[in-house]
Amino acid sequence: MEAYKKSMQSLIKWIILGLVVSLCLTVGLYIYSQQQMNKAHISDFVHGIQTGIFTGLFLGLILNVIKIRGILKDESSLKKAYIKSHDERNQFIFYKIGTTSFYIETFILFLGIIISGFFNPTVAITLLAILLIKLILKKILKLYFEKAY
Amino acid sequence: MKTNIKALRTKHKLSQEELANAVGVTRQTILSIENEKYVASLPLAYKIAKYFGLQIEEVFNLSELEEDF
Repeated sequence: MEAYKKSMQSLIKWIILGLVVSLCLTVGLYIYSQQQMNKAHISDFVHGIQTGIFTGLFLGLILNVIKIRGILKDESSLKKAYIKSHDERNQFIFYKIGTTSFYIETFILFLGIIISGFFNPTVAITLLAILLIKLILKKILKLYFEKAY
Repeated sequence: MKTNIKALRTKHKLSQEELANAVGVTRQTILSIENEKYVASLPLAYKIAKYFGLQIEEVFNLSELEEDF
């Protein structure tokens, strides 16, 4: 339990680092977009997406810090959180989700490549690149875990 | 996999939550094991059996495993 408590405390440090990075990115992006807007190169839509992503990330990280701090203060909450994160059925479900979603995502990407090929070659090539990265990553992870276990 | 966990819990007047806390899993895990939806790992099976002061084969029906191979 003590090791878990320490890992939660170090997680808070990592989240704070994430907060600083996302804040820097948001501010940097805002300044950059202001300069680009003068040149009329960046669309409002893309700017909105970028701002939304970083704001969401920022708020999500803050909520996580508050939640973890609350858990660390209360011993029974800490035990509950420990059991929840170490529960073998939860871990089994987590791995199952990872494996199943990989095959579903791959199938959707295949469909996307075929359909978008008729309308926009750039989208089809982008999706193909994503698919290749996914497959290469899977192969690398397979080799790694075969050596690890 | 069939188990005697439910019967043992009833005998010891123990709730799923209490057993789950004692062996370090969630109540849902105990429920799934009892309903034969999830098979406990060896360490968890050992913890449950030890908690009741029994051997693993007295809590879990291992005869099903012999049929597989």
